[in-house]
Amino acid sequence: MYFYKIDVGETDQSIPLPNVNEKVLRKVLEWCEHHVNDPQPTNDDDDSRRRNTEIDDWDQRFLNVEQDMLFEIILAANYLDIKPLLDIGCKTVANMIKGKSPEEIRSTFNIVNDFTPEEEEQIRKENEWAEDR
Amino acid sequence: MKNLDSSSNVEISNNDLDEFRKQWKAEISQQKNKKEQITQEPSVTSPSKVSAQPLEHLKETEEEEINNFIPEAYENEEIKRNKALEIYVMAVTKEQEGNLSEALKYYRRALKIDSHVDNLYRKYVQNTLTDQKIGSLEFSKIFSEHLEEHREDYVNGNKNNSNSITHQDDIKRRDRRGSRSKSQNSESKKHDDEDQLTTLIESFKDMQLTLEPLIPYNPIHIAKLPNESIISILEQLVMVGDITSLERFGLVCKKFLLLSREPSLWKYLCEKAYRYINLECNESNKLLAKDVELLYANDWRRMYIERPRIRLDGVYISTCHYLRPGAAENAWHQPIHLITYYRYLRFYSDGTCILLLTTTEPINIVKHFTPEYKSKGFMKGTWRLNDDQILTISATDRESPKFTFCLSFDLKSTSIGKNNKLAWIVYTSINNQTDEYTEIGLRNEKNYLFSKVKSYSIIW
Repeated sequence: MYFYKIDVGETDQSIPLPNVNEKVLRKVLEWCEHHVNDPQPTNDDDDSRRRNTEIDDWDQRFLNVEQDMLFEIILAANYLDIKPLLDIGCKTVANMIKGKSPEEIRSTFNIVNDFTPEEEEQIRKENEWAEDR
Repeated sequence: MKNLDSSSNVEISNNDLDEFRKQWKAEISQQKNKKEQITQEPSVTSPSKVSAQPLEHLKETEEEEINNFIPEAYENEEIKRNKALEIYVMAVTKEQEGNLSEALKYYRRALKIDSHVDNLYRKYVQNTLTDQKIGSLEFSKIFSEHLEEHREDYVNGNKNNSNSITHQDDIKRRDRRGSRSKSQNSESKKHDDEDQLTTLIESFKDMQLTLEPLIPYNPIHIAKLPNESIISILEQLVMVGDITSLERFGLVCKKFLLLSREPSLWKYLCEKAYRYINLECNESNKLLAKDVELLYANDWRRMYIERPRIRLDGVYISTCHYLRPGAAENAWHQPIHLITYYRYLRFYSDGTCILLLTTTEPINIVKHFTPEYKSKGFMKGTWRLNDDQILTISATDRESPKFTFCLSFDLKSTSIGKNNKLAWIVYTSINNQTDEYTEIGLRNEKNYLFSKVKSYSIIW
């Protein structure tokens, strides 16, 4: 288990990080250091999130990592409650899903199709409305 | 707990099967007698017979099931098959008892009568099993009651106009009962399908869903994420209105299907897509929560699919033509020009829209068509869709600020998609200084049809 000291104002407190390994933590800290001067997100959470529809170049390079690491970063950002990092992490994964067929998504994430052919057909029919022709 | 339930259910079902066979055999012989007596009776569908039966035949439901597995056929054919099936069932029973030589005898006899009897039998077992599976979903103990209920239903003759009910309907009806929805008949086929799907999804919920690797021994990195994080990823799709990808994600595997149906995602979508623009955000949301409860059985996804909305992820285009006589060079040559022009209409979630009238083809317009677009015939406006699916647009052209143009349309769907057609109702111009009101002719105008544009992301 890693403990990391984060300056929380007057007192230094240790925060236990049971789910975050060192390599990931270094990565997360790298991101935090780069974004240390970013403006604080406003109260209007929803608004600030939707304004950032694009991932900036630095972040894109930063998240250009193996899937393994990408999901670890998302986990850590979630655990440490670093919203902006969580958002760009999720956005990166969302971009891996976008525009792909179910078959392509399966091979992207190495997931087997566990529907029976009948089930798949039924759901495909039910989801067809969202397909644009 | 679950294990216990399912094992007890197997027991029940085995007993049930045995009992079923006995009843059925008795019924077959009776049916035969009856048919000999009343020859003019048309090919008997079980439900009608049931309503005519006296009380001692309470157990008709099961008997009826068998009939379901027999394809529609002439009476003689039917009897033949029943007979074959009966013998086949006896063979199976013998085989299960370990009496193989007896079993073989029966098998031979059955196959002689009907060479496809094995298929028939398989079908029947399969259907019986599905029936049980549905019964055992959440309330295996209720399974017997479920059957009981069927019987009562038939005895009371609840099943009216039984003649018109097809076998398939019967099976679906049973499924519906399995899924606890005690709705009456007369639902459309679509609702049946939906019910079945609900049942399907319900059954996934009970399962311990894990992700299995496509390439064995390769890791599934995404399996590391808890559901809430996967939902955060899907939120990102929802935020840019990419529902196509969301629904495709649901087709990947059972676990992803459940995640893609997460109500909070669809609630978010509805709150954006059906935002009451004249209300505060939370007032609008409150009203929508009421709508979804009253009109869509609290199913946000259903609301999003069914409730009409203007599509924001593309452009509506109206392609129009007219003929214009050209200048004649001589008396024998009279050229006529076919003029094609386009009207473009793109909507934004904040209640604004942009319009363009031009002869330039879509391929050269669509990707540049934003509020910053500069051209003759370009207008900016505001739009509103009322409860009756009437869309009204009021727009102004920078080059002629004297006028306000009012367009109204009926929002319609076509066979290829929903909410993808704008049918003209009226087109007027208002002189802002004099309030003079002029109707513009729609003779050449054509209705608008929607085209999705990939590069248009929805910004709620």
